Amino acid sequence: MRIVDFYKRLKKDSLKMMDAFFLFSIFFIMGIGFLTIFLEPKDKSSLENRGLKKFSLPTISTFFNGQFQDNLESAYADQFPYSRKIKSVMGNVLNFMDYRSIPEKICQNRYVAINEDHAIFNCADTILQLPIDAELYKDNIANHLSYYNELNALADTYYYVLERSNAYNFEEGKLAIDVYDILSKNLKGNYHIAKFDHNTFEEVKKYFYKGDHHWNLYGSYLGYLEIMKMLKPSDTPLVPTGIVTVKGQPFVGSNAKETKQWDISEPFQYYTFSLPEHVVYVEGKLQNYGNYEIKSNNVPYFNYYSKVYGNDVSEIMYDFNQDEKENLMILASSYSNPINRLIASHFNQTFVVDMRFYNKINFEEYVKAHHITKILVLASTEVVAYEDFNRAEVE
Amino acid sequence: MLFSSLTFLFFFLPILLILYYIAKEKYKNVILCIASFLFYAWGEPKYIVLMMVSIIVNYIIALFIDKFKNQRMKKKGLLILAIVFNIFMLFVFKYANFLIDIVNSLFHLRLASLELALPIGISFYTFQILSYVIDVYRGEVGVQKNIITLGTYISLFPQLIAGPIVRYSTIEEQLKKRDHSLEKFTSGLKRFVIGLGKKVIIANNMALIADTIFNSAHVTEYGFLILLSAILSYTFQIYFDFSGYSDMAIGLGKMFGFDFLENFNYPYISESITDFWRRWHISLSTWFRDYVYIPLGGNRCSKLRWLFNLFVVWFLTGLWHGASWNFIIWGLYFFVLLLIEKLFLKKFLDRLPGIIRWCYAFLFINLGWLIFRVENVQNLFTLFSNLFSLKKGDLWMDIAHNYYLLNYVFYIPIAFLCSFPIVKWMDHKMSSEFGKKILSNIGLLVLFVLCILYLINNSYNPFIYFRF
Repeated sequence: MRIVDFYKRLKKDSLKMMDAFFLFSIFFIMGIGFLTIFLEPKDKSSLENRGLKKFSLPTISTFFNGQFQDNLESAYADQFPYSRKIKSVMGNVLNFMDYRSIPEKICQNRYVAINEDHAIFNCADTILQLPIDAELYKDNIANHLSYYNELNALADTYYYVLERSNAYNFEEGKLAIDVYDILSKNLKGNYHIAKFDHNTFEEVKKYFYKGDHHWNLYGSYLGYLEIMKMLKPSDTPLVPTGIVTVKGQPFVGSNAKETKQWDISEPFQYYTFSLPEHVVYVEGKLQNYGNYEIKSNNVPYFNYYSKVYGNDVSEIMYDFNQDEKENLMILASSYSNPINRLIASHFNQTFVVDMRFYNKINFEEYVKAHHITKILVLASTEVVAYEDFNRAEVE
Repeated sequence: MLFSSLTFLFFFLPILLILYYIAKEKYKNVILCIASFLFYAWGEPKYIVLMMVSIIVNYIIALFIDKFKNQRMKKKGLLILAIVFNIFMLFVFKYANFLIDIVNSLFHLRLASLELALPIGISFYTFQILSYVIDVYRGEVGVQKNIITLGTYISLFPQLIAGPIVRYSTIEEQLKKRDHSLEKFTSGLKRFVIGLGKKVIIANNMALIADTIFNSAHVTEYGFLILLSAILSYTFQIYFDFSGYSDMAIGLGKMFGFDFLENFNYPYISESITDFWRRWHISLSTWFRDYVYIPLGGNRCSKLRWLFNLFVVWFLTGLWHGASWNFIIWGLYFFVLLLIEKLFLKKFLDRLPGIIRWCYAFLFINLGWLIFRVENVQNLFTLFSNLFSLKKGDLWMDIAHNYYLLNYVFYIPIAFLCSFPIVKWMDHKMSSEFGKKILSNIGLLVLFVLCILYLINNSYNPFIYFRF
């Protein structure tokens, strides 16, 4: 073979080989994706604070209602090797606009949107949820008011209104949804009402987490004090015995996770208290609730709020074995988690009900069965306005 | 199921490729047909029956048209039956509620809307079926006696959902026998990856800007700059979404041995609206030309009749895109522009420098997309007014309230560049085949990996309730 022919043949072969390499690489990647089905499935993602979707076989009904298809797509994304790492790296790379460096001219006294639902305000590195449109929640509010009025007739009912940042429009300097006013005007019968009236932006920074929608240890303790003033003004409230600052990974809260601003974080702190002896039943089972032994943690994106204060469940019962005292029911969301046990220490038995997971409750039967004489509704914005807290029809 | 989904890339396509290539030649169409039905049923389990009924009815009608090919009246009657059946199906699912709304507002009635979801791809496969039946009637193609083969043609998954509208004549021979070579397969896969990149990386991110602004309750309050960003974003969203899908369809077709015709030819380099419509959604414009414009007489008639023919074509083009007044306005907008160009403007434009011609075309194309995007006609007029009056608005407030969109603004210049035939230009400039191959293969590999990363990232979905 002549050198020129050999060179042409070599060139043609190497062009073919490059195409072969290209094909092999694409199929290799597709193969990794395909074989994801057979890998040991991952359960949870602390980055996204949720259970991860797993592959499951279709049934006729799940195929026809699209559930199988949605689940398969989500399972591929969730179970793909290094998916958590991919999401965190891509999140950092693609959200490169550092809102904290924008000129004061733009961010002063303004919301700067960092996604469609969240913003920073007045150049501070605290993530807020954007104010909600009260009109959109009218039907849900009506649903909730109907069972609040039922509660008012069953026991001595107390409403503690907690207007979150999304209830307030800091730009316009007014409430976007005035829960206190809605309740005051629409509640019937006997009830008491007070509110967490610390809604200036400076107070929001003081009493709520930078990157989470919940109140922090100062906010929740202040709430506890104000609630007890309403519930049992003669009782001496508990005083913290100390503060624990968890060493290791900081607290990256819900707002930070939703906006992928994972660097908006802070060390997690909680108060310690000396509580009387008590037992806790979580959804009827005797077990511990929360973990006040956490002193250090190296797991990134750790859900401190739920790990320390307890998860969201349908019902928790605190039994302080103080028969001379009343029984209390608390209707709340995760906002009550840090203070459930503190409030419960002033009562005999306390039943904490979360309507998101216990929405077919028959209040009359429940109150009678548990001898409840006082009811506390921790009326945070979502408890009053969101569909999740609607009561389902009781059969 | 979307091509730009992990299910398609990791599950459907690998399994189908394996089954297709290990199957004997005579079973390949069967496998494709079944796979295409599964592909359609994946997103529309109920409406797969509708498509099957459509295939069966048109299959039978075409057989009878062929049987009565020498009996003009019967043949014509059957053609009319086919047209009425297909258009009726399209009308019920796509246009009935639009007509009900018109009747309600004209006669102050309160007729209830039909509770029917729009079956995906119905506009595409209906036109495809119609082209087959009409071509059989005209004797331009032979009737397909094998229902599986016809089913394969109509339901062929690469072009089922979003085109291109493939004429039966284009693939008649390919349905019987097609060329499967490694070169063709590789070329198809590369085309697929390009389309995937267009869709996942450019179109999806342009959509974030366009949708946020156009869907906002305050859209009519935004100033000129924000509005311009939204229009440009939408201009690139729709092109890269649609042409990306066409690239994927053409690429997938090649991977299974089919050669489809091109559907886009860099429409944003057009220097006139006439030129634009030769480059944009070519399969649709040629469909309307061959099955509506020419049968009506085309331009071989009186001037008034020609005007009417053009009007009908552009009215129907607008209406085909959606059952809403803005789509009709959009179609007629191009009717007016094309008419003006044909009558006198084109001659004037031809004397101007290319850059001016391009600016003219690009401006009117963008304005057309504004009409296309905004379904609320009242808002449309307000937005046009804001645009032409260069409405100032509160720029800092607008930027602050949409700050996160700045993460996506950099895609606009990328999209702008990619809408030009840069790759072709580079291809001409580079003399080394070896160099071109390395660059393109590595580039496409990187693009594919990026697309996977974007798709996984897009599934990020944090949960704010603490259940564990």
